[in-house]
Amino acid sequence: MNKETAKILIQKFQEESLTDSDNELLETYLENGWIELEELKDLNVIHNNLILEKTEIPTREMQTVFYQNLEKEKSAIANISTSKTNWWNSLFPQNFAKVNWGFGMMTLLVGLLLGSFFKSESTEKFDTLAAQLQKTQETMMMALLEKESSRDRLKAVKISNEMTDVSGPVVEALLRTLNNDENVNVRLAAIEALADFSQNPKVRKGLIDAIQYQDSPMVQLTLAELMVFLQDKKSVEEFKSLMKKKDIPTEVRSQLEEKIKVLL
Amino acid sequence: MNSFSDNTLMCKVKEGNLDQLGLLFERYHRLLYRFFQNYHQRAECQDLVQTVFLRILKYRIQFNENEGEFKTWMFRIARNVNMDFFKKQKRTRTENIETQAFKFTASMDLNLGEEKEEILKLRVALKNLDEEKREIIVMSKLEGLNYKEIGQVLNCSEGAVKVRVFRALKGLRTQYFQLEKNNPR
Repeated sequence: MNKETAKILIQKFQEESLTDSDNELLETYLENGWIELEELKDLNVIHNNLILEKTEIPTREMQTVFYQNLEKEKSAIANISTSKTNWWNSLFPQNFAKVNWGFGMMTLLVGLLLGSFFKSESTEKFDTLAAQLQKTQETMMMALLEKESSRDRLKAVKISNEMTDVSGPVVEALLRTLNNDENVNVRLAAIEALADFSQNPKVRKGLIDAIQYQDSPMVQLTLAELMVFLQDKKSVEEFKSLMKKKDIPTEVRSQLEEKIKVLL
Repeated sequence: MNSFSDNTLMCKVKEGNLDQLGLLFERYHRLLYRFFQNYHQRAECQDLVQTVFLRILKYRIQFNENEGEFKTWMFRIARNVNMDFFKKQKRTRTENIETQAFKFTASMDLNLGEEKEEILKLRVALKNLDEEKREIIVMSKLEGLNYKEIGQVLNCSEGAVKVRVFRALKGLRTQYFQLEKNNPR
């Protein structure tokens, strides 16, 4: 690579005086990153001025069809797996689950023994460090949640997954994110994070209250799944009033009805 | 690994948790729609986006997270869907160009501003390019695809993508000047 050659090639390109061999050399320089496309000003202007057509995207219509297709595929798979179940069960002896359970218990006991063995005077120091770490994580999380980039906000929510316990402000921040963040992925991540602390009454109430604010089918269904998992019957009323909204896709509506039935 | 990364979600779909595809749909249906929008009308774009996701479902077992990102795998499927559509419709490029040329002439009569006129001319010039050049320019303009990722979609190096974009932009410039010549301001 020769900087002088690069300069000459760019100049010749601008003057439209490139020979065939110059053009070939210019392509080699581009391929190797010795000249960037942005340096070829004429082309760069054209590339920048070209604005692709951007009409409104019919998201709602596409969501409806997509979820219908997904349901069809799921039912097809369910039919196949029902017919396979008997064959699958016959492969395993009755006590297969017991063996797994026994292995799990043994691992837990070994863990407890090792834990008590290593427990020493340093416990106090460790607790202080853990508290400091928790505080740093909280500060970082709050700062990232304010960022404009959804990737940063997603990172913020993921930080809370590493926390063993959450403070009031963290819960509030996560609930605020679930109710107000414009990005579906961030809202879903907030549900996942809050689900870990669902034993906390404030979290659970916040999750139920959040149902009415959701307009994304994915978020609505994820919240419904979580409520079924938590067996929280208080959420039923919220789902019922959500379903009164006109713009809920039919497939989502029928899935929500199913979840409500399970909860009742 | 991030439990919400594209590849993790697609792996879950592959394992049979099909609901996870919903999240990938939420993430990418707009980008795919924008891609198809440069070739098709609204209703066709919607159908093609659905076809891409149906193929993702159908071929989910073939997804290999070690071979690359979900997004580039999805775009390879989208390209095939696009090509199949053209084959099926047997739509000729001449037909397309004629429609666009008509649209262009019609809009010229509306006395658009200079800036809008240039955008329109560039779009017509783009549609007059051959498929390969047009596709690489569309991809390079889509937000959310960088040269490296385009290379993975097209199965070539990042450098080769830059050369292809260079050639395509030169072609676009020629088409644009041709239009300027035929439709002076």
